[in-house]
Amino acid sequence: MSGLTREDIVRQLRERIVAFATSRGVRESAEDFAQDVLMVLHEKYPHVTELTELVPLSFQILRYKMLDQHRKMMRRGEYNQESIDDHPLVDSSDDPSIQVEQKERVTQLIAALQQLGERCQKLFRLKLEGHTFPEILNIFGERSINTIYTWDSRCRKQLLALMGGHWEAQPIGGNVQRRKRETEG
Amino acid sequence: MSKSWEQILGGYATDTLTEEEKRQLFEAALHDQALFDTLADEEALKALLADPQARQQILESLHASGISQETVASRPRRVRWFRRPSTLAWAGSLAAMGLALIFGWQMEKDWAPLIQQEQEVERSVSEKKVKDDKQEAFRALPAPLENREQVAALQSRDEIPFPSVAKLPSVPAVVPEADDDRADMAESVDHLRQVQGALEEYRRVPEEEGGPLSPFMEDQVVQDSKAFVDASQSQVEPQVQPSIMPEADEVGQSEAFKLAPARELAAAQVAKEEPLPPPGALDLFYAGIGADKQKTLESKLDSKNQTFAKVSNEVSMSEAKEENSLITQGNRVGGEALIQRAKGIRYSFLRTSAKKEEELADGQNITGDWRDVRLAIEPNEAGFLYVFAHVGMGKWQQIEGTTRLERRGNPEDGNVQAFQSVEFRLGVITNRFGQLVISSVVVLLSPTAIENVGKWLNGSVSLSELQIERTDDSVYVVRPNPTLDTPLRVDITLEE
Repeated sequence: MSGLTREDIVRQLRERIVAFATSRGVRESAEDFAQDVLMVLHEKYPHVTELTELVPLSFQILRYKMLDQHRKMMRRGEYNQESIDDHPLVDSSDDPSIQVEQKERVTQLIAALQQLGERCQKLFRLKLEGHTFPEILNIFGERSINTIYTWDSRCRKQLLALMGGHWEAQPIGGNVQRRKRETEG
Repeated sequence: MSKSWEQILGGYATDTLTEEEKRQLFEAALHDQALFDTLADEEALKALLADPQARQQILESLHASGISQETVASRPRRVRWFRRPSTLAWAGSLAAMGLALIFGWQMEKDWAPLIQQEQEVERSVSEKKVKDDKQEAFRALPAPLENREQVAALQSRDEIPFPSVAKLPSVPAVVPEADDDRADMAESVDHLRQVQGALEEYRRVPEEEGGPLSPFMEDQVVQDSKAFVDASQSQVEPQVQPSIMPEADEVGQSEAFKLAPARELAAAQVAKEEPLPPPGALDLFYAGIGADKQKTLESKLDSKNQTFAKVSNEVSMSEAKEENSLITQGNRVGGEALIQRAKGIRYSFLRTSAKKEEELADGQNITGDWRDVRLAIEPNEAGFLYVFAHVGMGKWQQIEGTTRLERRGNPEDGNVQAFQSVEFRLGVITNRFGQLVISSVVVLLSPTAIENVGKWLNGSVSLSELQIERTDDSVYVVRPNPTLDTPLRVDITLEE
């Protein structure tokens, strides 16, 4: 059990989130991202105090916040400077673009997985089936858990490379906008 | 980011980390910005895999892929077993051992003949050493004047009386000046003793059976005894050439002595009046050799009669001459009745060992470098000896020969004496690696000089005309038909 209190964890989370957002090109709103995440944690999840729950929860919130930010920028035409009238209004139901995007990413992920070796595919399949690393160790009949860790690390890097270096589709307009701002600045 | 944490990142997206792994990973992420960033990036994959529909889709694709891979590679276990490092190590070790065995076997195959040759050389060296020791022991004997008494003592000890000509050992009494040749004299004495013993044995057989003594063997003894006398005489007068077969080399003489068993058989069978077996090439090669020797001896004895009389105190020259002539006459009659000499050659291969010693080589088992191999040919008749190698396109290359003992140069115009050994260097028909470029040579022996050599080189020799006999170190080839006056042609295959 970790000796960190919730306040300690939240304080450190704030620093990490600001740094992460800054590194991802949203320097101006990095503080806002961190503030928003902490606000959600404080208001909606005050009962979550465990490190193993709090940190992934903050990652999840952070991701949603960043996706919202991207969508807002898309709507505002900040990426491609298109007229807002050309875009449909936001539907309260499931976002079809997100669904399509996710479908594309699944297809891309399957294609990448097909290119992996037999062992990597088996490893990924076992993980998707819910097997932990110790269980995978027994299935493979290996003696050391470090062998499984090493195999998984190599397979993950290989898969990430096949996916283009990102798990998430990169907003093309975002890159264009960022380069434009850097040029003007 | 610590490498250890990076290794378990893959379990975060699939949510398969244990509680302990999660706790350690997230705690580390709070202190490590790189790990935190990576985990934040992994969130996208985690969200994707969190969707049950997407997860199922991916799983199905992986199952399908796994099944197809298993069907494609269903030699699985064996292949997997073979790919294990331990298995590979064993396989490598076995392969290395196999290679070592093959290499060793090949080395044994290649080097065994050489090792055997070296052993033979060592053996010959040790034998020579023993022989030298004997000579040293002989030299340690009292003064040469006492040799006479030594011989007499040996005679009395063995209780073998010398034949009449065997009284000649008294001659060494006048050899005191020839101190350096005492060892040779010792050999001669030993040899005389052997011949004498053999003669006595042969004499005993007919005496027991009441038949006459074979003149054949007596001739041999007489020839040898006279050779001894002549050798002694030559020591007194070094300018005088040896009287018996002055051109013949040691091999020729030793071969003549090797005839003893064959002649023993012939003499015994004549004594028993049994039919003789057909003579072999070796017998035909040396047949009638006594007559030639005697003829040479007589001429030498005539010319040196006066000198011989001076040095011989106990031997009556006229007596010896009379006896020799009688024996020779008997030999001629008996020899012609037994075996008639046929024109032929004796050839062998010589090479110089690593210890710079000359040794006989088996022509069929010569391996390695042929550059130092020599073909030694010895005709049994005086004449002209030629050796040619066919270099292709109908062209022939003559190989020059050298006399074996003197090595002073080529025999003049190929003219050689009977039983004179001539050596022909085979290095002239090898490449720079010592490998033969020509697999056979042709030997021509003619009583007169051959003017048109090509006439006799082209075509092939009829083996039915020749009789061939192999011994351990030599090959005898004779042409039994004495009526043919054409040159004797012998094709010698150089085995490699």
